[in-house]
Amino acid sequence: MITIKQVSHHYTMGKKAKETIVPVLHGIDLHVGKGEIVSLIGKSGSGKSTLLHIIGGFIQPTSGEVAINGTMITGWDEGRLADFRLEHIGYIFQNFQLIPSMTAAQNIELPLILNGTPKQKRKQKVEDILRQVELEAFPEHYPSELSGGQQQRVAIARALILDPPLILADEPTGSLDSDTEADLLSLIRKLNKQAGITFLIITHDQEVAAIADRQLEIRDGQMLKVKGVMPV
Amino acid sequence: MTFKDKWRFVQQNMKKNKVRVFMTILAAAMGSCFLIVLASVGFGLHDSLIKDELESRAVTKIDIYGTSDEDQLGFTTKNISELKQIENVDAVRQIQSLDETNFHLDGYTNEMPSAIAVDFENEKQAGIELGSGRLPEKKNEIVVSSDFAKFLGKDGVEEKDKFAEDGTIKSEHLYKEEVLNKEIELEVSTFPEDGSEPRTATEKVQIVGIEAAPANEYIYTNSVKTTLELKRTLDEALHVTDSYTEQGDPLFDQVEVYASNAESVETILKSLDEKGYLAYSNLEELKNINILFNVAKAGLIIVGTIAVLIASIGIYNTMTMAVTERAPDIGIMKAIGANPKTIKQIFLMESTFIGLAGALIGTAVAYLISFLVNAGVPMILEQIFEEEIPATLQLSSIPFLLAAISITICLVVTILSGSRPAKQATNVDVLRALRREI
Repeated sequence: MITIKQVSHHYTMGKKAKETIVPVLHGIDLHVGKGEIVSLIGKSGSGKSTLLHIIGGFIQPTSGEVAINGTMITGWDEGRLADFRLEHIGYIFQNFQLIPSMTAAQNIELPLILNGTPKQKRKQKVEDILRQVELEAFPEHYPSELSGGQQQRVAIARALILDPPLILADEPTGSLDSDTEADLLSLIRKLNKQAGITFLIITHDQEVAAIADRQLEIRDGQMLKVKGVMPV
Repeated sequence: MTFKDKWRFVQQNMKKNKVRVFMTILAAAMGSCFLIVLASVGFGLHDSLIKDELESRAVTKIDIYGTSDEDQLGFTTKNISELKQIENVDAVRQIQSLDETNFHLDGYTNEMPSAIAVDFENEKQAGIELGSGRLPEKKNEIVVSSDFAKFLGKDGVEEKDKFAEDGTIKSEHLYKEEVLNKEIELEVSTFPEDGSEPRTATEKVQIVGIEAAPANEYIYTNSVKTTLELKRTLDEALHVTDSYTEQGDPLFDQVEVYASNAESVETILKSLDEKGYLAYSNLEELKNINILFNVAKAGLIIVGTIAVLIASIGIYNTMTMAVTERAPDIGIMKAIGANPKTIKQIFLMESTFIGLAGALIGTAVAYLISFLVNAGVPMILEQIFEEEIPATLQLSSIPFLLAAISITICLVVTILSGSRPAKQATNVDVLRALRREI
């Protein structure tokens, strides 16, 4: 599902002529198989978020190659990456990233609108997914009227609505209490088992990392430890 | 993403900032209205000046004032037939002038109006317009101009007491009754070149038609049109022979050719030149007037565009603020998979809507102002200067072309002013927007 070859990245800080190069990733190699749950742990500044953003197509690596579902996305322009992201990748963020002026149903409907799904079909799909994430009672609620756990369920529903084969989750439980966190983790596991969706989860929470088939650790921009066995 | 969904986004965005959007539309409307009203003055005055010319068919009229044959004193019937054969010639009007004429009616006289003899069939083709009555059907029937009666003055009144300042007869000496269908005495005098005594002939004629008033009401016309047969009778009585060829065919003093449309005038002029006729058309003069006015109108539109440009600053400001405020939402949309082109189109649609709404409102208000100006200003001027303003004078005119130009300018300017903020929206950095750093 995800193949990364020799990916390195550095940031350029400061003004011109006084720029400093800050290296973040050093020659990362990674393969995530279809239907796997992989967790990526590491300290702050270790480079795990940068790696996730490279896989999501938000930033281009300084060197190396990234392929998703067999498609090489390195070097693509922003428009092409956006179209690819819409069809192939669902994104779950730490602080939900819902549009506050839209209701739960409208937030979930957004990817369907972007890919031009007809209105009637959109309505049906939103109703189905709301049931799946147990939010059928809250379609007209605005994010500010929902709890943290409910907001994250809306975000997950939005990530799943186009049935992407890959979900990238950036600290998905970072803003949740322990009970809600447990609910969310069981939902992720359910979706993985039932729909065969591949998850790449960034976390520094050991409990979250524990649900993964494989645990990876990044330290100082290098892949250090692998716990679990890569499926054949 | 469908157009309908993009429009739904635009509506949602505008609802969030109703007041700001309203004020921006208002600014665009004021700019557009100013542009149209300013230029409408140029269009109005231009229309007023050329209207008379166009209405009197002066544009399609070609005056033939001679032939290359210097010995020929007038135009023969052969010439007339030749002129009628030219392509795109609608009508040929042949005219014989009468010598000095006076018209007497019940002790009142119209002295020396311009009197001509014409073929009324040709007059009909040339577009003669009657205010009342009909065209002559018999020899002794005539048609007079609309102001003919204004020059019918009482006999025996001294010249200095008879006429008003504008050249017409003072009301106390004026013939008060209706002249249509009245029998009137036509007196023609001729002054032989050999120095012999002047000769006079009279005929009883009936006024059967009165011509429609000309478009420019401030010019008085005192003229009479008789039949060619009557002219021949009078000439025979006066022993005048120079209006006829040796074979007795009439010789016409003046010939006018009417083209079927203004575009064919030039071709006809060329053809006339080839056939040896000396001709002149008002069209050339009118073309110069048109060029002058078109330059003036373009100038007024440019000045008006400055107002639209000022309004566009408001649109730029509104759209820039909208992009800044919505940067987190744009970031979320892009993270989900919104194409930058889609984001740009949504913002361009918003600025286009603002521009279009402003242009349409401005155009509607400009039409209203134009109507009020045309209705009100002549009344005010009449009150101040105590002079009647001609009905044909139009101070403001908004043809469809002007409205279309204004809407186009407004649209182009607003799209341009909205394009930079729209581009800013596409350049919003997803990660910075998600971290609320923008």
